[in-house]
Amino acid sequence: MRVFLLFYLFFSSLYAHPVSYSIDLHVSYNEKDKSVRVACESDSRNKCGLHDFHLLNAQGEVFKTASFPFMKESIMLESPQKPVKMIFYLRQIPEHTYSVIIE
Amino acid sequence: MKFLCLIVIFHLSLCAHPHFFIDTDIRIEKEAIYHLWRFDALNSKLLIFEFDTDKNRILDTQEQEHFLKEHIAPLAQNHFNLFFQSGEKEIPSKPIDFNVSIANKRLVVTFKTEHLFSQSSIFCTIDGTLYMAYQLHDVQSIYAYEAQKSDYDFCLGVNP
Repeated sequence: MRVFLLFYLFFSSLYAHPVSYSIDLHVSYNEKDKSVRVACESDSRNKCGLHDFHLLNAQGEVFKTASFPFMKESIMLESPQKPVKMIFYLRQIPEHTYSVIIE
Repeated sequence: MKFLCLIVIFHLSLCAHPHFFIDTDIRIEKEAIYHLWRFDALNSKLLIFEFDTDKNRILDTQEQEHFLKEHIAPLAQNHFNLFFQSGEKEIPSKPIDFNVSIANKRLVVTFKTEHLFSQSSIFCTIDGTLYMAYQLHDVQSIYAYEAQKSDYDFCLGVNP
């Protein structure tokens, strides 16, 4: 029985999940240009392009929504106000989110 | 025995969905992109066993339709894992002319997506639901292109 269990665990580990990835987000605001730069780093950069993001003000209201571009490291957006928070979410699965507090 | 069953069930729950590794060939023509998805050897063996019901190593029309219904049609809710961006605008794509065959013991799916390359475009094959891993194997294109690929997905920037 133990042999069976070892074989099972060994072979199932060969069949492990192939697609795990990391997302590292950076948001900065340029007061002079009134623009927000959102950068996304990932071990699979293409994954960044699957996401949309909301920019929120101090009241927690969404004032801008945009899509992160495919094949690019960052996106620049005009923004009359400095965002306080960003919610970065997988647009096919909107409940799959990353949140960033902007200092 | 109960303990063993619990471990097996728990372990299965950790990898609850099937995983496919798919070698992908792309051919870009003036008005269409031709896609070839070649399933990995292990999954090909399982899929051929399941869908080649008469075991003649040929998938007839009925067997192909069965496979497409079970494994390709559900991808529609995720745009068939295909993303097109023409200029700054993301546009929906609809794959057509599906064919399923067996070649060198691998299950192969081919189809095309119609797209007129009038401006710089980005085309990606990528699974946001973490279900399939696409590896770019070969690209033929009448236009200049730039590829960005990982072990699990790829994007092509095409400049007509």
